[in-house]
Amino acid sequence: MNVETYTFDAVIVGAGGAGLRAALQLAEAGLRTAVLTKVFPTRSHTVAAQGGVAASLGNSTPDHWHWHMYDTVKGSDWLGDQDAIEFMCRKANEVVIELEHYGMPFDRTDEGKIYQRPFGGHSMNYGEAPVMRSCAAADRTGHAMLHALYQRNVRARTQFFVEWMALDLIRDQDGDVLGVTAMEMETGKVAIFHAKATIFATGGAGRIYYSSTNAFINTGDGLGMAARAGIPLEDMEFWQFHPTGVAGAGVLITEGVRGEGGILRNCNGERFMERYAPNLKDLASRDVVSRAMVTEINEGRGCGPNKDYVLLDITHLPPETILKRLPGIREIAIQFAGVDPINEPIPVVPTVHYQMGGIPTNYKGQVVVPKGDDLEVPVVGFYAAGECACASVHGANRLGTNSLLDLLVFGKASGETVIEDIQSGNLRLKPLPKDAADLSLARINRLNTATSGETVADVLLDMQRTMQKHAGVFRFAHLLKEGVARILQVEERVKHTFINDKSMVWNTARIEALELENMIEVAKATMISAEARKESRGAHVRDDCPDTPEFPNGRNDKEWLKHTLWYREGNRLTYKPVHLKPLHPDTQPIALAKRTY
Amino acid sequence: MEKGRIRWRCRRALLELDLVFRPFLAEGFDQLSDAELAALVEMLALEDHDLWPMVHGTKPAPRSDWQALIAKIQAAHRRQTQELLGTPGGETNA
Repeated sequence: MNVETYTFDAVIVGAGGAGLRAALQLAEAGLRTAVLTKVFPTRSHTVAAQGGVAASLGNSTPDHWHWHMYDTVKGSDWLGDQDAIEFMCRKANEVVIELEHYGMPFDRTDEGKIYQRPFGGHSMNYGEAPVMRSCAAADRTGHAMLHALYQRNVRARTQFFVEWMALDLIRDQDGDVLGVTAMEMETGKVAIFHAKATIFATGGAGRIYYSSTNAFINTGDGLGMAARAGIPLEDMEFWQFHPTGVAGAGVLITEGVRGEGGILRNCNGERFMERYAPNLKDLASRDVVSRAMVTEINEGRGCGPNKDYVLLDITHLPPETILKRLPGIREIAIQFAGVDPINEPIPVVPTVHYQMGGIPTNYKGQVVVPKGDDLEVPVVGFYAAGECACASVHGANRLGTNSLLDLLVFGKASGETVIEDIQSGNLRLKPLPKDAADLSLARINRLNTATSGETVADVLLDMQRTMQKHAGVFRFAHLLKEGVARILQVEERVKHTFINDKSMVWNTARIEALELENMIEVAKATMISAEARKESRGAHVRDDCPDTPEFPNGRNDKEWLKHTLWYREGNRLTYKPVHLKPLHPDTQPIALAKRTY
Repeated sequence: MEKGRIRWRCRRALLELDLVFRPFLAEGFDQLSDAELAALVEMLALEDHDLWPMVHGTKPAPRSDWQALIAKIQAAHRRQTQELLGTPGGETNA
């Protein structure tokens, strides 16, 4: 097949917050910049971010970047790299003010400054009291951010390739990255995007789970491409969950429902939280509630024909209270669970929300991999930012409002690093290998020629159920072990999917089959990394690693204060140390401690 | 505009919209008239934060052809939710 080649200085995959911020840096520097995106940029999942973006501006309460650094390191359960966290917290004010100058409509104080609100986990003076650090634009922060960045990119003449799906990373025999292959959905044609620099900003892969708050586009395409190209994935065992998503749909039911008197019940109608948290009961913290729910389900007291959810009951509340205080939640329950919570309880399960791990990078946005004795050697020409990357600023657990900050800071940093690397002569347009498009063409050819096999929907559902059951919010040694075997079986089935529609033009079945090939890489990385990590830390909580005097919260710093690296080839795991030293020699590191709030 | 393209544009930034559009794509979409398809294309150009309240019914759609489309989208979703009642495991992103 004749494959057309487009040549750019830089190609960016993904047009959410991180991709747009990186593109802007490059395009404004005069570099020829292409952005590939499956959907129109302002339909990226960044739109769903409501909470705000953290920055220690101190507009509403006193604040300091080092307090923010402390909160982030503590939130990460000390798995975050302190140099990257320092970099992010120090840069926060700059990127927020820049965004304001781009036209972002932040909420204002009476004096006209950016208004800041408090947010969970953020504190002043090292945990002393809540701080107002989150800069927001009503409840549409992500949406407003994407619009401001997109308009600015249009002005800077960034070239968008909308409704294109990147397929595979192109590496030469030195291992350098020379661009990507991609498919234009409108025609089905495959093209090569040849570039000096390639930046991945493809977002998370929350759709690998059965219950997920993520939109359908979040299929981890960048992670799948990186894994197939021999790049390891870092800390993939760490996923953030929310306790109450509508079972089967994933749409969130806010914690406010339990605040108003909502009660969780098992199949016997029992208020089971009384056994797990006798004082706080249903108002215990997210992780305690999630663990209790999973224990009930695992011990056979779940509800429904599959006994795979519990019930959130507000039927005892007066209907007028529900109508007055929880009207939105009632509508969500009617829409997505088919129940009116005035009369019937809502089926809920812990639901995946955010991926802490990803493609390993340093604080400059360069993708780094082990090579000989050096565990963090930059891959020439390859950068990543946002949820698909692991810098690692979120470590084992992300704080709210740090994800929008992450994509601004590291989107910009990756762009700046590319500019430096091009100007210093480190990056040039290397010749493409002859087989640059072969892998992608073979993948498409398999789908085009397969005459039988399983449907993508069937295999996808089994993958999602396997992840939910075996690598969910609360983890059990035997389930993880069994989960590894099961997910490897699902992988075999992914290799033999079949699509009826063989047409070239707008073949959405083919796109979904290709997405599944990306998701299975993320699923394997998650399951295998989680099975291997024999401790509890942050969002990775194991039943066999409980809170003991020797291992507070089940965390074992002696053996497990290290990052996981999963390689697709042979499902090999290696580890690398956490950066406990901040970036600047005069910055006080955040000493290891038990994570308590 | 090709039907495949319109179908793809029902992939949104918000999960809520993805979930509501899916059953409609499976059962009502192929029967739409050209005029309905044209109205849908224009509706899909809305921002998700504007589209969701209309589809969800908390804000009226400003056009009667959009209201008619939303009624079909909601009917398909209601039917699916009823079928899945008691078996919430049926939803996937396929």
